Amino acid sequence: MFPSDLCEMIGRMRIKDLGVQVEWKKRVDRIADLFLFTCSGLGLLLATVYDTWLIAIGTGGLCLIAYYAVKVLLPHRSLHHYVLSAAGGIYMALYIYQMHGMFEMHFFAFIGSAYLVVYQNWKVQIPMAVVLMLHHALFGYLQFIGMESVHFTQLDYMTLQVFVIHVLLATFIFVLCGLWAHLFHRLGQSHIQQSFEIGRLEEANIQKDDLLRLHADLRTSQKVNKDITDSIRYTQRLQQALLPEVQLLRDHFAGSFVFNRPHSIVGGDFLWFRQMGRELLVACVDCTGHGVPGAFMTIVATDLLNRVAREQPDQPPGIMLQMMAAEMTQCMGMERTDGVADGMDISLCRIDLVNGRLQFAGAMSPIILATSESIKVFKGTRHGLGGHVDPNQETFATHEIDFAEGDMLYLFSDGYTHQFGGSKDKKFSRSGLLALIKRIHNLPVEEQWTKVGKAFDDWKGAQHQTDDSLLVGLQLKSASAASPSVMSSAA
Amino acid sequence: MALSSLWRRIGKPAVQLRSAAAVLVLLVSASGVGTLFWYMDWIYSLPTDVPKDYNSVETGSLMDLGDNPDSVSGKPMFLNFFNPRCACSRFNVPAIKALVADYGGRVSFSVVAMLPDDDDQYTEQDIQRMLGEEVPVSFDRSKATACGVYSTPQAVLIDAEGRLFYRGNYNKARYCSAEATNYARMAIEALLGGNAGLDFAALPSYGCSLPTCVK
Repeated sequence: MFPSDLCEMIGRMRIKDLGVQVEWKKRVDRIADLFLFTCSGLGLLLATVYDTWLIAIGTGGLCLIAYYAVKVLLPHRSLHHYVLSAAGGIYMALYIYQMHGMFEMHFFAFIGSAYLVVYQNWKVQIPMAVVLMLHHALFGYLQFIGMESVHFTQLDYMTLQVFVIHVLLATFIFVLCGLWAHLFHRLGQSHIQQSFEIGRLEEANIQKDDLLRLHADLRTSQKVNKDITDSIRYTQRLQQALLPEVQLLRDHFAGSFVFNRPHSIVGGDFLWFRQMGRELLVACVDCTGHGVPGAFMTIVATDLLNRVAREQPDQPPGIMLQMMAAEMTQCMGMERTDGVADGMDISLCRIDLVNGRLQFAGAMSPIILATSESIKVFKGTRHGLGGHVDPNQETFATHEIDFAEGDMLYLFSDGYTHQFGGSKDKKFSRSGLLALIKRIHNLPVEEQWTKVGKAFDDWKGAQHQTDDSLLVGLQLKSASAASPSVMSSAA
Repeated sequence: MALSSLWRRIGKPAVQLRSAAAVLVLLVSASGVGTLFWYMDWIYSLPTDVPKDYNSVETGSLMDLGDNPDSVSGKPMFLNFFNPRCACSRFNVPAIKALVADYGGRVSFSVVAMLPDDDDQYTEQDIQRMLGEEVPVSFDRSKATACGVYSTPQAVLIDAEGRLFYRGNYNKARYCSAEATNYARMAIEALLGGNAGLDFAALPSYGCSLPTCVK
């Protein structure tokens, strides 16, 4: 158990104890209400005997006012307990007076003292004892010096000895009740302490059970996680089997590199390659999402590309993309609002290395051509493939581009340019990529590959990778004209 | 009203202010209780007001109570002027019973119920239930005038010759709570002992005024 948890638990227990104490105080106050009103009622009842209404109502009312005023004014103090104690003494004096010194009324002191035990505080006995002493001393003295109408006792006479015994008995009762109150208080404290201990043990048991359950859950989760990871790794092997082998690029281009950094084990970005006679079809595809969902989309995209290349091999890339869009809409139910809205960005190139001609069509995906004189960006259309878009309205322009032997062609997904990082936590951006290409396009592809990876890592730093990232560099020169050089990386 | 809502309405004063208010309330209450006890003692320490048209009847006067056969039986006669609505009268019931028990054979006891004409709640049986079955009860208030009685409870002792021997309180104080000043008993003892004894005539009357109980 963590120390913070322990502190929290102890805090809860104390609050629980405080709750018990508050509840106990409320209960005691309710009993006090009953006691006070009973005493006042008894005063009224006794008033009927000798018509002592004025003193019964006056004294009872003043006791009630004093008690409730103090309780309202100082609710969090226990002063009203002491007021009630003093009121008990006053009620006794009242009853003695009302019954004109009836000796039995003195016994009310014992009842009051016994009642005060409920407060479990021996000090509460003191005000009542003081009132009693004052009353007995004053009224006893007045009666015995012969003052008329002082009603203290109906006994014919009370000697000093009797008076002393009377006081001693009263003192004994008060001491005894005070002792009981003190013992009850200690017992109560002990009970609370035991409750606290029991509660603490129960809490500890609950914590232990929670930990055991968490441990079991964790083990289950670990197993499930391992199963899922194994599945994904297997999917990775399947995906890699679908992607063009690096060897194919090496067979056709004098130099090339592939920087492939999926967001997860498997990703939604992939490079597609097909030889169509003397021409080469190359596509850089960025499927929606990443991870397993992206990987599933790559299967769909690969199938579509293969089918279009097989069925319409001579169409320009723009038409091929349009056909792909139509196929995709049909097969994935995208014409329906409840169908799959996922799609892909794609840059598709038909390259004739012999004649130095290149056809390009892009769906939300550009290419960069770096020649000895300039770095050019050819933009695709402003919409991707798929989603809830009318395929009949979609058109993909085909760019006709001439290039010189040895120029560098770069295809890339937006994962590279959208990567957050740098000192201001901004996107790498297309301008950043252009600046990078400007620096490296004349370098050997091996160095370019290294620098592209380093630039990405440096920019990303400790940041989380934003998306799948794919960047392909192709040296537009036939492999037969130079010794082939291909680099590939995949994290 | 809940305390919290009360504080919300009037704004919770500072603890010092509330403590001072609590002390003030306690002082006022304690003073009030003390004053009440003192006031009650003061009120009951005063003798009953003498009526304006009061005619004092001197000790030794020959009494003519007419209808009382005991006046010629040779026994002293003890009249208890009693008002069941008077707290003092009720309080003295045990003392009267004690006198009847002690001197019933030698003194003829009777009760004069002092009730207003329109008060017919108490019957002879009611009074006897309170004071003793064997004690005759009269509702003739003129006996009070004849004896010079103007309050309750009052004791009147008439000797065997029909002369007023004692008229006054049962006790020095309003209530019979002090044996040392149990004047009624002392008067009987004095009469039976042939001793003129004490000068009871100077004692003022205490108790409830007539015919209705004022205090």
